[in-house]
Amino acid sequence: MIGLFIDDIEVECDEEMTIMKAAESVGIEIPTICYHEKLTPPGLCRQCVVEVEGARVLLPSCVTKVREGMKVKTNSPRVQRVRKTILEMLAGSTDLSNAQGLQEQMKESGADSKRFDNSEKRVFPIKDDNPFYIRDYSKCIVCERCVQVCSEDIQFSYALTTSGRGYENRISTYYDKELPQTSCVFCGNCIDVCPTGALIARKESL
Amino acid sequence: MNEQLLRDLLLYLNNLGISSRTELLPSLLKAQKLFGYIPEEAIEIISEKLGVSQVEIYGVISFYSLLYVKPTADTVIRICTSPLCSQKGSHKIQKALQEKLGIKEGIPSTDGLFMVESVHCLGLCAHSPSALVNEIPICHISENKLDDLIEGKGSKPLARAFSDNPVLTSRFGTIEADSINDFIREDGFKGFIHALTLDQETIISNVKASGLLGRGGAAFPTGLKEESTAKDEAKEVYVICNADESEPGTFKDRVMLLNDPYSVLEGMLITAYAIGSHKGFIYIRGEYDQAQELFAKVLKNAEEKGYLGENILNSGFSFHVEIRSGAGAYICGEETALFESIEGKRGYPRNKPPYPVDSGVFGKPTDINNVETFSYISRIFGEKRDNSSTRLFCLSGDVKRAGLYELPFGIPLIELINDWGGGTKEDRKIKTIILGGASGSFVPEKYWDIPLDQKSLREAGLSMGSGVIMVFDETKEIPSILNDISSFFNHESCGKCYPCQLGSRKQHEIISRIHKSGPLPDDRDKLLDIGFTMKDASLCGLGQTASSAVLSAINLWPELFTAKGGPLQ
Amino acid sequence: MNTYDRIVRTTCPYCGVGCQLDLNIKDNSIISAIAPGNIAPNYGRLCVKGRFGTDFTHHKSRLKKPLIRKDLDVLPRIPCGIDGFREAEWEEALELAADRISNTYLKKGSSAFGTFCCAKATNEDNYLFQKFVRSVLKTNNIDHCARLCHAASVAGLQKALGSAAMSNSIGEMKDLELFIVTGSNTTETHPVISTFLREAVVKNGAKLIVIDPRKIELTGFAYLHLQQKPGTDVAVYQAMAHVIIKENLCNRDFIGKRTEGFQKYSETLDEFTPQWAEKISGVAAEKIIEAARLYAKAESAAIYWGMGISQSVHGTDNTLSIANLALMCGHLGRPGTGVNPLRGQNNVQGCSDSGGLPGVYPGYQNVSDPASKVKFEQVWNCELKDSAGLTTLEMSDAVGKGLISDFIIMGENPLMSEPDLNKAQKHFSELKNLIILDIFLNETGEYADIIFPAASFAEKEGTFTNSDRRVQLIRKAFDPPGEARADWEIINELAKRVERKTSQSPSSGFEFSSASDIWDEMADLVPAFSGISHKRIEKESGVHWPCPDKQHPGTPYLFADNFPRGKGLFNALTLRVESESTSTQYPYILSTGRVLYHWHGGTMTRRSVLDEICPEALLEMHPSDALKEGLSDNQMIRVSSPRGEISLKLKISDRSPEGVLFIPIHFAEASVNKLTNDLRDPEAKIPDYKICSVQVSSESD
Repeated sequence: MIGLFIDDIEVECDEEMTIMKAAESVGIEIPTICYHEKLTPPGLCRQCVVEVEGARVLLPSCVTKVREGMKVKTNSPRVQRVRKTILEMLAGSTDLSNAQGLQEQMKESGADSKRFDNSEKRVFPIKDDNPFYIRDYSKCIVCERCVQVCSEDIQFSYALTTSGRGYENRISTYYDKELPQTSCVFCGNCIDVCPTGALIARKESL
Repeated sequence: MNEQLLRDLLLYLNNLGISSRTELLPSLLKAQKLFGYIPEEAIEIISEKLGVSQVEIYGVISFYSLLYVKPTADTVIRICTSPLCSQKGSHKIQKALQEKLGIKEGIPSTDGLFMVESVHCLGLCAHSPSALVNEIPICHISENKLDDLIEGKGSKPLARAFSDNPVLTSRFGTIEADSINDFIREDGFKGFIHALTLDQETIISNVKASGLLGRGGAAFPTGLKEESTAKDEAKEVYVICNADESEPGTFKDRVMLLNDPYSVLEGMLITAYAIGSHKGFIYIRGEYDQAQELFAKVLKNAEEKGYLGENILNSGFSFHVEIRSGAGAYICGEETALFESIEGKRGYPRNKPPYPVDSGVFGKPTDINNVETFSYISRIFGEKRDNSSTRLFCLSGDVKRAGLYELPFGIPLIELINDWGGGTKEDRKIKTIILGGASGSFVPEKYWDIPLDQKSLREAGLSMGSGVIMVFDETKEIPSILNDISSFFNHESCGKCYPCQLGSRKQHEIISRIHKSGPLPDDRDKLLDIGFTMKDASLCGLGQTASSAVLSAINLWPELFTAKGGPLQ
Repeated sequence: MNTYDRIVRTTCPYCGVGCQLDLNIKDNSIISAIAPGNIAPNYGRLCVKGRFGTDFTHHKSRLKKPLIRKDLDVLPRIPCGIDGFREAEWEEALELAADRISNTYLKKGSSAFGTFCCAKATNEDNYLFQKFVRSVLKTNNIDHCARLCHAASVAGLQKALGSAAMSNSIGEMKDLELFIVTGSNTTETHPVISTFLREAVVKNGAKLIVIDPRKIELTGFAYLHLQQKPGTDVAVYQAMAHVIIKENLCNRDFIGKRTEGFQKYSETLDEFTPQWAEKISGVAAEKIIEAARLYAKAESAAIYWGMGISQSVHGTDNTLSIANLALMCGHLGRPGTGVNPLRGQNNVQGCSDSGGLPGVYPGYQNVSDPASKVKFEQVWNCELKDSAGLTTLEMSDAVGKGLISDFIIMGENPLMSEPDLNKAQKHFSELKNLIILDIFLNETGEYADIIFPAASFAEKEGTFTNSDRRVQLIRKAFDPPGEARADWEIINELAKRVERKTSQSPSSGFEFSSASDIWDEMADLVPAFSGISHKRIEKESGVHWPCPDKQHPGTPYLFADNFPRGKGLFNALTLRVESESTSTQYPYILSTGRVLYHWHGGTMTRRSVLDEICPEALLEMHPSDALKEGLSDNQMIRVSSPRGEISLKLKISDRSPEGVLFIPIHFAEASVNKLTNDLRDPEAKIPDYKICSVQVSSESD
């Protein structure tokens, strides 16, 4: 067991714990987008960053382990600025109309969803190629949870990947083929983890 | 589909020592070379042989600029559009070339003969504007010499260095770069042979005592890295030379590898011996074909002479080095992205910790250093031991004598530019100076005479990075330079983390608009929010520095970002 | 964004994994199904059937009212569609059914009844059904389709260990060190289990040995693939045992303390050399040796199997050869070890546990054991038969011989699942009385006199027991369609009426008002269930039996300290070759099996969105065979055996070896069981589904 301070609260916890879990243990909830209990945390959304005294940059609390004597601020002005800006940029890139969790976070952080409205959004035709579910990548924030689920965090079916680079990153099948032509087995485990409704069971979309 | 080429690919795959995922990038580059792109049939064979799923291979291909899933052309001409070349008109040259060939960017001509695309920095910044015609680098391209360019003709880069007391560059020009005998004649491998007589702790403490700091940009103490890697009980540790030089304005690795490659190998050998490693990689960027070929010869010669391989010089120590080629991704110069690339994955950087010394390539402790750093290690144990007082500077832009300089730390910036670089062309006024490359920042005029050492720079809030000094004269405009820089990061962000994926695009959109039509009222605030978010919350060094130039420009020239001055040119 | 009226936690109605499901319900309709978080056995994972395939519950052809055959008592009966029936009120249908049953009972006696309980129905449905059969009809002629799937695993494991369930839990799979998958295309039959197995390989570095004639998907993850010829399993396993003993790799300590008969058994192995096995099985001797060494040297090693082992004329021997291996290496009684028959249906484990077998009362208490008989007689207020009843196919035979005239079937579809269907159909057409409880009118229902419309898994309460013996709840998400009722409610009514009409008094007890009460009666009678109640499962989400008392935590893995029969028994084996052999007329071996998107007789999945992605049966044939026959992909092919013929599309694939064809079992329009034969394992009475000889021709010829 080690001791640290999170938002001035003294916390005792196991040394293998992440800052996020340690904060949770004293009732401090740190917002996150890509983190999911079932999956290996990729630490890519940076929404869960916190300010750690002595650290040059903000640290992702989902993967950063606690240290003896650490002083953590989970909601400092630096942290707030980052969270708000990330959400605003996301809203300026993606259709978040079905992303309930993100909408709540936007409200919470005071993010202006229209701030980057005149920026180029990622818009794609809906992919409706199988009897089970629909893929609407205009709603996709490339959190890569579905890829993780499809590959080595759950399913080992390897039907999905992230393709491209940078802002052009997309979730794609092999050569962007229709799902029935791929190794997809329609387990739908990807739907469970999609935070924005980009993947949606057909009946849900009606 | 060419069956013969498929058979060639199969033969290549069958001859691989180990059929595992780490062979993915080499196999894809092989297929790219054979077919001019990577056809579906090739992916299927590679997937089967290496045990990597087809969709993952597809994802990997799409990540790297030098790999294509669609046919390219017999001759692919890549025009450098990084800030230095762009400022010297490379965009216009590219446009003219495309018009001449009647094709659009990235789309091969209907006869399959030509394709033109832009590329971000070729490491030919001292000879800008530059291009790559298939594998051949061409310097000083111009609209007047398009016919030559199409045929791959034109001036070739000079690989030389300027110094009055050369240490690192002492062999430049005195040896044939690929000649191991020349190298040995010039005291080559002396350091390594000496190191073999020392115990491992002594070697490491010597490196620590030398005060050597990593020369790749992060300036981490080299000896400490060695110590942390060696400390590990695990038997499997790796040594990696990071030669994925891609930072605009940087070309020292290329010049070093082309002039004194054995010294780099020697540094790797000493390091490997010190930390108990038996396997090393040198990851050379894909655009450095010549350096890769030369280093392959170096490894072969060293092995034949007993300096590499099993039981080196009968010491009982064994070490093998493999060359890995990059495939067109700036991010792979980030050490953890480089590991992912060696492992056959998309070049996504990893969250740190764990640090490479604990968990590097293949999850094993890894000591990774820059080309210059390794070369320097060889000097610590050679004739000029304990001397880490010079470093390599890449001077480029609007100076009379752009090129590689080996100079002592602490030389004032302006002295380097004026006394060594000969000052600006036609003695124009300097508009601005960028230190550290595209990820560096503009140097305020009050610091133009700053001594180039870690301490002074740190105090001024500047960083030398990989030793890049880019000079822009009064004919250049800040918004235009910024546009080139933001365009670079927009193209090279890997897209893994949101601050950089979204920020590099939004930043570029705004900068590009400011460049074209001037700022809108909230542009400055947006750029500041984006910039600090990238700097403070990005996953890796690329994202954390991708807004440095913009942030420093807002600080230096706030009027450029305030909406009232009308359109800027 | 959807909001739901309610979210109902339940258990998937498909395979034996027993995934926990959350049904999102709006307007009494399942909008979607999702996997609840970190809960055993599926830990947040689902497959296509669980997630998308529950829509059969809303299919328009669900039975909503009792049906009575229009041409009642016209024999031989001919199969008819829904138009051959008239809708009736419950009272009329129940009275009519009770009258017909009572008539037979009074005129012909108990032995005239054959009954099938149901591996898809709940433990409570099955308990009550078998109670009705044993206490009211006074017969032990009760069986279910476990006979057709894992009977040989049960027979073999009972003999060797005294217990037939999967010995280890699904939760252990991801941490496996080494495991063998044999005769199971796990990826398609137990999709969620296969994800844990792949996880063990990819994430935990486990070594997988696939021993299977087909190149199943898991072979892509395997360290070794032993591709034996169909029917030669015993040769491979005996040779592995030979190697282990010869190289002294067996676990002497375990053998000494926990087993018996080793010395005698080991003396029988001399001739079973790997070289001999190579000749028989086609598997290279070196591979057999390597597999043997890997299995024996592993700290922990588990074996998983499916129908490929059990659906064989020597399925019991196959199972015993596996049990012998596990016993000699001591790979039992610890996490990550064990002998694990993967159960195919949602509640095939529970149906057997609840007494749905001819020889045992609930909890595998032998009907011929006087103490057990007395115990049940006391609680049920009746006299019981002390001799085992007939098995599934024996009952079918007895119909053919005129010995059984009445059949009562709850939820099963023997006219899809029995071998040599043409013969089975003939038998069913000669029945005097056929009463069925089902949610659909299926292929068997077409022969029925009276059909009672039953509630589906989503419309009633109860428990299913999954493959790793975990008892879990199903919960009512909405009302059954029309007047459909839960099976146990129907049995309550029917049993009381038959008791009355046959003057049986006092009643054995059919006044249950909830599934939970039925469970409690069973738990009182079955020591392994004593600590389990609906309330407790509600709290813990599932409990692994045996669980003898309320404080007991349940038993994720069996045999830690001993085996139910005391010591593990080695069984000497010989290579038996009774399967139908190929001939010039019928040159191909046909194997049957399942595909991912369908399930068993297809009653549910063919009435689901699942049918859209996989609408027809495909004949799998090796490219060389197709070339030889001059056949091409998608061509319509006629496949015939000495017993029948079917037509279906060709899919050329190298999954099966040359000379071996594969056809899935789910498609009534190409019902592969018209081709299979009913040659049976002498002990387990399971038919030889994996081997029959066939010929192929182009349909256009």
